[in-house]
Amino acid sequence: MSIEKSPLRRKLDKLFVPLTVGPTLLWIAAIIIYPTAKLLLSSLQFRNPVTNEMEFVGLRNFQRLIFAREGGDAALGVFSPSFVSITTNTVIYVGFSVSISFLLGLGIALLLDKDLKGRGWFRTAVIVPWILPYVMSGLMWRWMFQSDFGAINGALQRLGIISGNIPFLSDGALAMMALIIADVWVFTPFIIIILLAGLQNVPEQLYDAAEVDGASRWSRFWNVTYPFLKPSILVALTIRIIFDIRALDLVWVMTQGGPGKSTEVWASWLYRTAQVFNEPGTGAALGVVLLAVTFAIVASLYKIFGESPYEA
Amino acid sequence: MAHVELTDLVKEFDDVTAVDGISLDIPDESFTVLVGPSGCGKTTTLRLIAGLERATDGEIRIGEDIVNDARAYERDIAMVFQNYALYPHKTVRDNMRFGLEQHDTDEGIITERVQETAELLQIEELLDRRPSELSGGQQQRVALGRAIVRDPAVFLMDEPLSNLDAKLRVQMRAELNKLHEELSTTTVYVTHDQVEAMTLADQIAVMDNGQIQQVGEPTHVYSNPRNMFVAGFLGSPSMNFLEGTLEESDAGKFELDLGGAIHNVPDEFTDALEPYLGDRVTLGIRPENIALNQDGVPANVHPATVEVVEPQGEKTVLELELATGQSIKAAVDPDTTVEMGDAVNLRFDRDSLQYFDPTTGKSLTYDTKIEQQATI
Repeated sequence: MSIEKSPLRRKLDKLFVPLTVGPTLLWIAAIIIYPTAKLLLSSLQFRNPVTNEMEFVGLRNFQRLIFAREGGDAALGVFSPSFVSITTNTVIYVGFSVSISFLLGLGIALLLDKDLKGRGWFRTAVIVPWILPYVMSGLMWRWMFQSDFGAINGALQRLGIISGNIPFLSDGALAMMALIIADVWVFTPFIIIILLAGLQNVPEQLYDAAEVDGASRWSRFWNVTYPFLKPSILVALTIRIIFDIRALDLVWVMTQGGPGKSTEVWASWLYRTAQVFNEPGTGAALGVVLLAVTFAIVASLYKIFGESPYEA
Repeated sequence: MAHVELTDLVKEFDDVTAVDGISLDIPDESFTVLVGPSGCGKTTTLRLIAGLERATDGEIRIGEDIVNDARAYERDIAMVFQNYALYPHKTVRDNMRFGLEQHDTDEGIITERVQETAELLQIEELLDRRPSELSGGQQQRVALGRAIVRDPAVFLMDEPLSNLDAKLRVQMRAELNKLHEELSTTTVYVTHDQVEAMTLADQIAVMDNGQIQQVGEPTHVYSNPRNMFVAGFLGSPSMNFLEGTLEESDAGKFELDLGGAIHNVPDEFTDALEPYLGDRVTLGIRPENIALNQDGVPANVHPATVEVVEPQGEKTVLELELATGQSIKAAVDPDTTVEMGDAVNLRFDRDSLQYFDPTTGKSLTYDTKIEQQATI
């Protein structure tokens, strides 16, 4: 006997997919597709400061952003000095922060993966910097690096390492160093957590097999740990790099891109251009550049670390 | 090749004593199987020999060297793991090469040995595949290959067949036997499967509670268990134990009062059992040493009722209830025609009877039986 479904039930059945997936698609459209499209559109427009109207200007925003201005408008061929210096700052900031925190995080994760006494306590303690709001961490480090009564100057003086105060946040190179230190402090726990989770995936027996095979510690790391850690490294580095390229909180709170433009990075420049200088078009163009760079970095990370050890 | 000698070996983990003072001699070229239930310490013992665990006390000797402080790779051993432990991101060839490469072996020798071993195990066509592309049986072969290629003094195998299905297991068992015949490398093999132990070993060590309960040739241990644990662990279905009080009849014969039924103790055990007169004694008899006796021969016949009939093909296992209420299993000829509820008489083969002290579990008749076997 076949069971006849009532017409209403049949209709409801047909609506199942649109009803369940629909809201999600709408949500994705609202938070990803619309802003991205708006960004792309804005990057091609110029807001007339007098009339507040948006005018289509083609690629002029990109030209003005990337290339030097000669006689009022950007000329192709010569890069704008501020674009170069801010890009250099960003590369230094992201490069050093990410690599230092990655190596540090990997080391601590490997240590915490061992059967150490007090491991549980240490695991919890290590997360604290990350769960603090970034702005709070930024404020804390700004106070610590303060030149007259900051804790770091105080400590260094008491230890007899320095005699005068070091103007950490008002010297260009030192300010960048201070930013990197704060960034490493805030984000290393994130790396630790991700890599520690990855280390749990390494089958214990493989270490035994490698030990019996006579593999050295380095060889065991490269031949057993690393292949299993690759997916976690991918996640950790991707998120970490994206975060740092976009990171505004720490920079804004600690240095506001100063002194001068010595710690100005893409994120703070974007914020300044779009919000402070009221040039949404140029800001959007910078946003598009940022998006493209991020995509390129993620794609190359995938190329390097994307393979699971079990894949054929 | 090398012999392995364990002396008073102890391994403690925090509060747990996993290996409790075992001594074992594993002769050169022998196939020794450590068998016992989970948690008996057999795998820990193997890992101690491998150097993957440090002994708390005692001595491990491989060949002429005491290796307690040697690292695993300095001990000239190779190990096959329960889950194969193949490197998933390496091809079969690279898995097999890895150990040799770590020992800075000559490239030419590596290639040659990998090829030889692959031929021996018939896995040549798998050499360029990754483990994830192989079946369980093939992975097992590769794991064996990785051990063989190293040409070690000792093979250590930790339940290598337990992840295979029943048919493949039987097949691999035969192949392991053949391989051992061919290579004659001293092998220590851990399993909880007593059939595997019986079929593979030329020396079996039954372990329980971190101690070796008995060592010997498989058939010898099977027929002459030193205690109730060994008696019960080896054999499937396992040995029947019937507890009763040992008494002397008016005729001066020893008999076991099973609580309603009387079991006559053969005369040759009188001397051994004399100190236990009046005490509780456990009779042990294997299911295959029980016959259905329809003719009613008077000596040692126990009436029973058939409760369950389990035809297993090569034999039929009967679950029976004795007149005393005790449960007993018998393995009989598959042609036997009995049904549930049938009343039968059971005859215990007198040469296969064992007697144990129910409190210590120790065999009371082990020495007598060994002496008898020596005189025959």
